[in-house]
Amino acid sequence: MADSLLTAIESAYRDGFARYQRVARAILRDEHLAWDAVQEGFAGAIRGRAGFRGEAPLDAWLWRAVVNAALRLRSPSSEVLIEETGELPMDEDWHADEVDLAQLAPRQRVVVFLRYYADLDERTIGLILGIERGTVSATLHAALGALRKNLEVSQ
Amino acid sequence: MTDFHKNTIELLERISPPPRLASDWADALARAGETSPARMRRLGWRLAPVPLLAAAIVLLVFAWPFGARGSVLQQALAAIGDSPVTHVVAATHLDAQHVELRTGVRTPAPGREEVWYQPHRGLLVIVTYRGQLVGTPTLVRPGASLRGTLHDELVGGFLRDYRSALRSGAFHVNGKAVLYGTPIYWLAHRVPLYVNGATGTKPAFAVEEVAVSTRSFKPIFVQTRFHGRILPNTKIRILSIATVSERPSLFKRTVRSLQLLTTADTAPPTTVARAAQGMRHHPLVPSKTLSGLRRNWVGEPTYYAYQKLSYNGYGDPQPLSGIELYYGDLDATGYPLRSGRYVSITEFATANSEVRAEGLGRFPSNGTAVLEGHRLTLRVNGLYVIIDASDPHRAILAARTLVANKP
Repeated sequence: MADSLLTAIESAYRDGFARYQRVARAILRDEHLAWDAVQEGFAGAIRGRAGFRGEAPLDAWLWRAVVNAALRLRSPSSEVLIEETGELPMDEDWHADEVDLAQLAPRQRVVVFLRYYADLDERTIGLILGIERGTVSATLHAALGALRKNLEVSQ
Repeated sequence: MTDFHKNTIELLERISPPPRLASDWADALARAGETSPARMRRLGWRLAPVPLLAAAIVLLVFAWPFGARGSVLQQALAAIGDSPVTHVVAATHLDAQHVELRTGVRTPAPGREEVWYQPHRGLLVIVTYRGQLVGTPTLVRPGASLRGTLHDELVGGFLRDYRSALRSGAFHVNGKAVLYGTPIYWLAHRVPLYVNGATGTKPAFAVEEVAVSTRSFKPIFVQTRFHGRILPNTKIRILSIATVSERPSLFKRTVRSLQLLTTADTAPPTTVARAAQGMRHHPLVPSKTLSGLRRNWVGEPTYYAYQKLSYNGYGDPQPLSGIELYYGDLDATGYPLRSGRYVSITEFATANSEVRAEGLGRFPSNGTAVLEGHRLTLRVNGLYVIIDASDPHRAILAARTLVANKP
């Protein structure tokens, strides 16, 4: 059982690496950090696979692992000495349109990325983030409203 | 699909282009602490008939110059090169300040450490403070403990473990931030910490946090955290780090006998006259009251040095000649309380092992002093003075009084 689950996790990793990487990068705005988030997320899933009971789809369980790893990296727990705390720097090739998304609340951003990058439905996003489907729907609605406003302004 | 949804998807596509970094299932398995036995068996069977090809593939994977994998740790390892000797120059004691006593003007006065490290030869550590050598250059042989050396496991400890911790994956990436105007990744790993000082044997673990530039992937800052707090004097600013070719002559120095030092909470009481006799120099004794605090104690210094024995070991710690003048409350047993509001002034007549361990650069004699935390050092009337106070302001006031009252 454990080996077949490992094979399924490997298959999901190989098939979906680009999507995981893009979502993690969208959260972290850093390609290398995103790579680490995907690796750490899957390492955690591999370690904890004995605890996977199949109550949620494997896909949602893996997305949750990757998103949590990215969020952990996004918010260092340690109150380190940061003398010039500022907005986190972006990759040099990060597109200027990122500013539009940066204006969204963190949860709105994650929901948008999961909906459009990962092509997940609202129920699965709710499972990944540990929130109600209605909350996902409302968050997505608000995020799209804000994006619509930005798109209209830019056009 | 509406135009809006099309626009949204196009926008997201533009924002996050397809990843350039390749997947690496083996790395994910390794991070999880396991390999896939079934997979290893399959690979073994396939590669068995072509061992040379297998070796070539392995070599190619490890020598691939284009960095297809994106790990921050791998980039950090590659950034310092792979020559045999690692060389680092670092600023330490970042909180130390040079104080103009008359005006109170303070300027940063960090220390400097230069360390050369080659795993099978050891660590060569050269510490200077304000241009003056602290102690003597120290060679720590491979496997020897850094505990008790002048640099207190700072740069040497960092340098000794850095490459191997990156290579083994002991580091974790802890996030991203901006430090000294430079975007950085925080890396962290566990390091042993000896909590009982020079004679302690009980190991504990702290977390060493390394800030690595997101552009150069070289470390620019290190600090050590224990029980959630940054340990005092563990902040290091890395000024340069690189690997260089073999330099055997560097490591041919004689191993210096370490002078272990310690401090005590209490030392026996004495009198000014008796202390002057031991010091062969008259101490500076301010008035009975200082900074609103009464002088309630005159005692021997609380600084001790372990005597190196002829065999491999140390004898009992011996007191250093000098005097302590204590202003503040005493505890129930009649000894200095050292809490609440207090000022402690310790004076030495010679550059003894404690003064040399601090570094002569810490004892300026021109009406200035060095302040670190609430501890201040200076040289007045030929005496080496260490002032420990409940706050920096009182320490500076005490120093001003000493300078004003010198004969």
